Amino acid sequence: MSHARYLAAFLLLFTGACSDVEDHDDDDGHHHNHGVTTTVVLNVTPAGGGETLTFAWADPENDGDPIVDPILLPDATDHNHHDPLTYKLDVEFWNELEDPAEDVTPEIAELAEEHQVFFTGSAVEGPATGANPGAIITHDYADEDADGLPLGLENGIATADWGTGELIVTLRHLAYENDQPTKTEGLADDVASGGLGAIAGEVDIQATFPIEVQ
Amino acid sequence: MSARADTPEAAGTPEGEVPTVEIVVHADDPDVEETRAQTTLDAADLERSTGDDLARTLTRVPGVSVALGTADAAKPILRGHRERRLLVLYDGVRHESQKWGPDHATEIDPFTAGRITVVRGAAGARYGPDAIGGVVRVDPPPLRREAGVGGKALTAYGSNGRSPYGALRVDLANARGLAVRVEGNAAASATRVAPDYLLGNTSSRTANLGGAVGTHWDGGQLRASWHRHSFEAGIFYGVRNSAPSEFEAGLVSERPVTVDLWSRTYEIDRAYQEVTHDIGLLRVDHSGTWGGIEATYAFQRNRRREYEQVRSTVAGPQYDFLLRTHSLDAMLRHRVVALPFGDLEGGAGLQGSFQENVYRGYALLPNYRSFGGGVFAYERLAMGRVDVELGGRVDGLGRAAYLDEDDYGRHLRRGTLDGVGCEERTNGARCPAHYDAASLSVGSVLHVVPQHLDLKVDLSSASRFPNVDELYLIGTAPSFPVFALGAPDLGVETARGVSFTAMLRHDAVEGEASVYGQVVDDYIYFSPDLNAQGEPRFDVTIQGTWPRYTFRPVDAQLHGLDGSLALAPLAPVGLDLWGSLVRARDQADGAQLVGTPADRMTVELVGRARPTGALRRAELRGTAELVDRQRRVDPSVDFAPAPDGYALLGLAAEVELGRQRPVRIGLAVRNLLDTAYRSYTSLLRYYADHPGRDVRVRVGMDF
Repeated sequence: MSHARYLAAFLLLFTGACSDVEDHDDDDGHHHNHGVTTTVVLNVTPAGGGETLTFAWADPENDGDPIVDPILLPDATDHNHHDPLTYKLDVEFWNELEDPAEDVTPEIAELAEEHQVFFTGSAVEGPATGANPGAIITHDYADEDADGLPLGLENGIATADWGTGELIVTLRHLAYENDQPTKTEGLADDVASGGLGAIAGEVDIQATFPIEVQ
Repeated sequence: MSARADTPEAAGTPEGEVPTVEIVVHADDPDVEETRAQTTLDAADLERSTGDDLARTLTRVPGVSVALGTADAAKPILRGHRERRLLVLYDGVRHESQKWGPDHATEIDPFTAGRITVVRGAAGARYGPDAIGGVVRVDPPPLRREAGVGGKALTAYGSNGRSPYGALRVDLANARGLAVRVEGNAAASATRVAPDYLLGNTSSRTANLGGAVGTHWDGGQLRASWHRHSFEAGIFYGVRNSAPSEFEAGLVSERPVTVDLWSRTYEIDRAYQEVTHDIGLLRVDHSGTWGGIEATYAFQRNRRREYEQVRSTVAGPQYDFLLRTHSLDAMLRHRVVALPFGDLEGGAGLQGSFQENVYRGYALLPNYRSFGGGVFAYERLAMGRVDVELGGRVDGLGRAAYLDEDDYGRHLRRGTLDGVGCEERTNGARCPAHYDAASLSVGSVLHVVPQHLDLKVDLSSASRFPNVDELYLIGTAPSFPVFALGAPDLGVETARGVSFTAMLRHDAVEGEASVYGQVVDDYIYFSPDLNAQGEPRFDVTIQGTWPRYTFRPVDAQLHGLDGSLALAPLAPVGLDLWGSLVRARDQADGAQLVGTPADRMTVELVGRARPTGALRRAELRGTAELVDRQRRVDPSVDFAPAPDGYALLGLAAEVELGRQRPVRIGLAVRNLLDTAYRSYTSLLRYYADHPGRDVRVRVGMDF
């Protein structure tokens, strides 16, 4: 090894080290937002009014170790009798790798023609699942983009039964390809029949929440 | 049989360029003198693949296969080893780039080559680290010596991709020995077309520009050169950063989901890659009756930016790599010593490099700074019909990785780093590492029937220091549905191998066959991470649940056979064959290593017309490329089953017309029958069929 060190020392005489190797903030004077979404926040408000319940799925370090709030959703139960309760579900997306954390939701709304949120999992029945007899909630889109296609930042859900299950919230980025939109009619149906692999685009973020209706 | 020296130490410089020491050797063919199997592609061979990148240019060499990426880019595979384990030398200088990436083509312009030599098998003692699978030497043609102007012009067009190509080299020299070269070329390709659909967003643009200036004197020369390679290519739309369930859905689908939206265009859309590689070098050499000396300083700068399909409000690249390398090579050759039993030639040299890697973007790699160096010596004894060569080399590398705060925290939380050995700093940590390696080689060439039959045996070793991605990668890999995790404690890979090569040269038949075996200790293998019960581990990321893959050392064993045969190489009708088979397995369980190329053979029927008048040469070639299915790799450890074998037919015609300055015209049809196929070693095969029929026409001339 010693010969390598002598050579290295010699080479350093006419090369010189650059500070950008050690300084991770030296980015040619530019800071790039890399478009990452690390956090999903679900705001659930009873349709008839009441306190908003907030549940988050966050991987703020983007290291594959998310912090997940289990969703606990009361329905209008009257002792031994299940009674559906409807809620308004608003979804927020955040990038917590930025400092301060960046709310990505307005950008998603602005680019609604190339995004859609899908709600799937054992706990839910909705446009992206088809019939699901074991569902404990139902889902409907309550917003749409300029082309009249569902977006999924605003939604309606209703309790369907007591029980537990999984709710998977997926933000799909549906970028244009050769200037053609890949967000088209019936994508939720396609997901219901063939999964996310049946549609265009890439997953921006996918959050799996355990959910219980009680 | 006395001939001009073209021994291994001189082979890094083009023939005719260096006034080397007169050495008595036993043949005039460097491919014969090399103790390993070696193939040289000359200017005519290179012109046949006009417009191709380096990897695709090498497909005529037995033992070479190609890994097609997901862009219009390819990487060479040599004896089952991918580019990590290959050493590419451009003008004698180690080519330094982000070669670890499966979608990163070799950033070298074949047009700048006067010849390309492929050495098959471990060659660490002479060439240094990474030469495990072999060495690819790209040597420019010599600068002009006689006063005047000369050069080469080439143009080509390919139908698949509607790709025009133009190249020009101008060489000038004056009577005082000053020579100047200016050269460049450009190509563009539109969307590639598979037999049943377009391959959306596979357009590309390539531009190369360079030049050299040199002077020579009695016994020596001084030369400076600079070359820039620029490449921009879309990543196939069908490649999606998707979780396994989605990925598997794509595998069973016959056509990519959005195929009907795609159109033929030269436009490049996100995702795409944008690459530049600059190399500048300064070389001086001088020879005399005492021997020879050569010294080269080179600087390389490789910038790679990858732009993902992100929200349209997000600007800039998502992966941004910058690699700067300074290197110094020096070599001293002693004079030929006449011993009672033969002539002894040889020399010694040293090599040093200083490298800095700067990465910005999605969590992936750390920055690093490294110092590397090596010293080597070799001697070759030529005795009658037997040549014996002995070489040894010692290398060292000191590398400090600079992890940013987030990445360092990720490794600490996962336990891949425990903080010991790393120095914490204000914005992350500095993790130093040192590696050492020694390589030896002993080889012999036996000229059984001089000029006709030669046998070679070679025992060689080579080493490779772990790449920074293997040590510190953390995150979802851009190309595969896996969560990749580096292993910071990986050590040095060491390969030891033996090869036997026979070369036959006769007017009626020419051939070469090489059989080899190699063990690689601590071969760094990227494979699924299993828990104590042998079940795969998974990671939940922001984009879903992904299987965890890690880099782990295994003891690998490779063996195989490759060679070529030309029947009636001078007759009006002849037959050429070349092919290879490789077996590579983990010695612990005997499992075949993922990515080992399938058995392949190419058969070419050649018709040659007799030169008449202005027709100096005319050839017609019908080609069949036969590739078997890779049957030995366990499908459960790959992302998809191996694709079926395939046969691709091709047809090519070449003529050379004119007396003074002949014009060479070529027409070639590749994949004549527009066969839908997928190559096992290609990244694209997980997503789509490969491009179909391509009709290429080219015109070239020297002036």
